[in-house]
Amino acid sequence: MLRSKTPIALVIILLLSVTVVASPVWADQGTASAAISSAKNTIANCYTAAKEAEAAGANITVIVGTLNEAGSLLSQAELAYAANDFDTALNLATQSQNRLNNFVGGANTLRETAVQQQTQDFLINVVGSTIGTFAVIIASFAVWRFLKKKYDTTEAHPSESSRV
Amino acid sequence: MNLQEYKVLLLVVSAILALLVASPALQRLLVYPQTEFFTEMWLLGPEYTAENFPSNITSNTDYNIFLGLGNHLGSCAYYSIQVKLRNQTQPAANSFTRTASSLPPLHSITALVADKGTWESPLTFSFAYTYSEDPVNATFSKVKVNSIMLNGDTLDLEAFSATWDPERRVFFAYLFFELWIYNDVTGGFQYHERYTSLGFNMTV
Repeated sequence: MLRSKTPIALVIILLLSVTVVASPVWADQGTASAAISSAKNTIANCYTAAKEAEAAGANITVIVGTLNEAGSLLSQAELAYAANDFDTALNLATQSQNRLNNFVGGANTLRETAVQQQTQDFLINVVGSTIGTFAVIIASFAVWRFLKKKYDTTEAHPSESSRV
Repeated sequence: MNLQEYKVLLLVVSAILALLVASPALQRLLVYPQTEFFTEMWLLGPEYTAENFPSNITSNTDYNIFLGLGNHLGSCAYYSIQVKLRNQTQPAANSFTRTASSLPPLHSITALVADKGTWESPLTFSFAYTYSEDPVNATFSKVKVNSIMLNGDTLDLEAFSATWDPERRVFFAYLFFELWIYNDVTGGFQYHERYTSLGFNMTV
């Protein structure tokens, strides 16, 4: 009876040890994997925000630098993950995400500023310049009219004096 | 000065003035649209020139190169540079079919580059490899690369080996860098049809 119970007990102990010892490793792997996926998504979202800001005419050099730092941390996280160093992978992926805190907000602010700047530039450069060009043409026409009138007057005087 | 001369002078002065005032608006209209969209990819040697690339290498020795990208795509781009290693028999990226190598990457380097911007990174690498001896002929028959150290990170290699190339009388391995680009629509990276590689003769 005791003999038949021994293998069952051993199996239970083995299962318990697997559950207790191995499960944290799997949990770490899952957490690290999730953190890496999340960091990848964050970078992709930030990239889209940066692209939109650039399309609006913003200078994105500084924010691209931040994105590259986050990307570098993510690459290292992936390396650590591949080497089964899940703690480091999780840590680096979290650092990568933290580096991008408020990134989208900053990129949107840059975009809005750029849109305002573009509108102002359009008003000054296109509208202002077009109005200015018309003003020059009108002024030239007025000067021409003035000169013509003056010339006509000076032409008329000698003929009048000759009649007298 | 008669009226006709005044007319000519006024026309010339008005035309010059009008052109000057209209120049900011004309500047916007007369900009030629960008017609070629491409990405540059380059490798530079240790002296930051396109020469003296490491070729005859020894195990556990550091070598320096520079890897760079130039974005002329008209907008900010998100690149992934996949680092791969192959021997003479393994598939390389193909310039004619414009396909990437089917080998798995050892490492991915991400780079975000603004439009008309450049990105450059120094790369320091070393190979840790051992020779297998042919007991019959008492010659080296195979080189087994255990790992590559790239910018301080160890890239473990499983069963990578280079066999003796009898024509060139060397053990050859190629380290190559494939350029992939993020596609907004698919939400993933796709091969950007560019790669650059370095061939190494692994000496004793």
